[in-house]
Amino acid sequence: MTPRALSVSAALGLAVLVLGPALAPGYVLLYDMVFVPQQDLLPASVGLGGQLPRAVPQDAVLAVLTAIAPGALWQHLALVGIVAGGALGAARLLRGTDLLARLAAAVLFVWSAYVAERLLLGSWSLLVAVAVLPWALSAAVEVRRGVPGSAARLLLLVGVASLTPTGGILATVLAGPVALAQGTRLPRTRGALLAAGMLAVQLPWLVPSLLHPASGSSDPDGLAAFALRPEGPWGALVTALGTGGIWNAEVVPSSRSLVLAPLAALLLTALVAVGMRPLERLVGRAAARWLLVCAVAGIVGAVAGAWDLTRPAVDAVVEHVPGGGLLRDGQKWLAPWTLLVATSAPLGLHRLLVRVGDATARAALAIGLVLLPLAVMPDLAWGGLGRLQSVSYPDDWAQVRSSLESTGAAGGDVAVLPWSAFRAFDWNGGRTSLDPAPRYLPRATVVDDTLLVARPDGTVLRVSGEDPRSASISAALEAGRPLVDVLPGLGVSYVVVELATPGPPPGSALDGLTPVLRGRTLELWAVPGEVAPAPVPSAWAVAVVGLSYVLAGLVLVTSLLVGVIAWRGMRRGRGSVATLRAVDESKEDT
Amino acid sequence: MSGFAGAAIAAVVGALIAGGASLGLVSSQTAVPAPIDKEYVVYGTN
Repeated sequence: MTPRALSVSAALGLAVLVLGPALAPGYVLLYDMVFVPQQDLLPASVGLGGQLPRAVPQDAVLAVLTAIAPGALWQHLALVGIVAGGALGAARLLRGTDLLARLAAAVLFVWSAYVAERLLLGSWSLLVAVAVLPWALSAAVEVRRGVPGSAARLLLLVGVASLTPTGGILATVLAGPVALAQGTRLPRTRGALLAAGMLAVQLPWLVPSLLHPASGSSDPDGLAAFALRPEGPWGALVTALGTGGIWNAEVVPSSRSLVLAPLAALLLTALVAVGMRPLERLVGRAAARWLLVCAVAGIVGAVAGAWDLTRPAVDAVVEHVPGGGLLRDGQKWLAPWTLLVATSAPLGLHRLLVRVGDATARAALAIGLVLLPLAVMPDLAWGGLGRLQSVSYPDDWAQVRSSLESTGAAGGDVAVLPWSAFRAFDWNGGRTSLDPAPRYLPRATVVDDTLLVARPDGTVLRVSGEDPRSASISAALEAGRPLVDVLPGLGVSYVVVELATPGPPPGSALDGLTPVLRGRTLELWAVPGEVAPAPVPSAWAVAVVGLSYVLAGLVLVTSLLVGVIAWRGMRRGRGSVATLRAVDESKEDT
Repeated sequence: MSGFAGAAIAAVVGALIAGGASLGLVSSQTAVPAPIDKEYVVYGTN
């Protein structure tokens, strides 16, 4: 077995160990992670729906991909890619070091509290970006060193990371300056093109965000609800150093509250400090120091929202600065720190091990670092001990979808009950998940976009949404009015009622509606009479957003072509191998 | 006799509970109301 095959096999083995039952046929529906067999391209998919565009261009990409193959395939590929791709990427950054250091990097990166907690919250597109980070940093280092084709590869990687706004920002901010800052061998013109390309692949989320009427305003209660949460008496900073602290206590592995977690965090932080010098030698001073800057900035941003002293300042940013809402979920910005821990700590240990005379003790300590994450957080294994589990949608869902498809262009949008954003279906083991209807149904949906977050004192915090139609339906339901009074004016022709999930009984809300389909898990009701036209995005908004996709697509296709040409050139040995070696051995002070 | 009966009943009940637990029919959570009874689903707890 070649070293590469061995690495890929180990990474896939790690993916099986982490994902376990999630790899069975079907769909994993957990918190933010909702995949459906076929997702239609709707205005909301490109960020032109009623809610702020938080899942763009992810939903648009999935609409295209699920036209080719079922969503289950893409979900499984994404999950395996997150774990195996992230592990291989972290190990790749330590190329040239010994096997145990690379193995430790791989395990530290994906068996981290960050990946565990985000995975159990279903933040799959953010994790795709996080898995891309080490690859993007590697590519940026190669751009800096003048390796042919590396700029095109970097653009492609940033494009993949930009499935979600946070991912795009993380990849661009981490890799961009490394590739472009002073000392790079990239000619200035190509540098400008690379910078423009990295900006262009952000347009599909940036443009609809700017166009949305609610852009720039985020509910300040969101900061209190989504701020980093200390996982023990050791506080926010040590929790952040351990890469944990996700806002939602329900997705945190139990082991995170054991004293081993902060001890491991402090040990690894010390090893990071020792490992910075060897990391600088390996990836260059510019890359290592920029990674450190991003990591420290991420920690500061995360804990600032959690500390009473600094929270008002972050509150003000979230409330008044356009795009400041991105700061409210502070823990997600710990991704660069997670990468720094994974790459610098193994190098720090190996630097210290040089002073250990006994070879057996050296090997034992190096193996110990590989196994440390598993020992500290064993409950990530097997899909977080069963939290990640594939299930099948009941047949009712396909029938309702088919029924709505058969109505053709006639009719308007669909309102979905129970009136709440999240579900806990009995057929999904009672796991909390975002309502799948907006992605499963072939029409635009109006759902409750208010987020409910429970507080430890038993109160429930309501984080307001942005969709005005949703607000109208909320008001009608609160007043006990039948929906038939309000839906026609909102351009809503159907109501889907999801059963087998918590929620108040519809009561009089359905009075006056006509039943179309009544299954065990799902019902479809029609609004009788005339219905006003559903709101559609303006032609110029569609044109501008469409243009943003065209630009981003052109950049990615061009990068792919340039990358393939460069790769073929290298395969033919037209001096590139020699160039690579010369660059690698140049010991330039990057 | 009563001691023997008590032991036998305890053994049968114990076996039933163990069997039920292995099939997932009985658990420490059995007495908790099913989630369907709740008014709403929260996104999480902070």
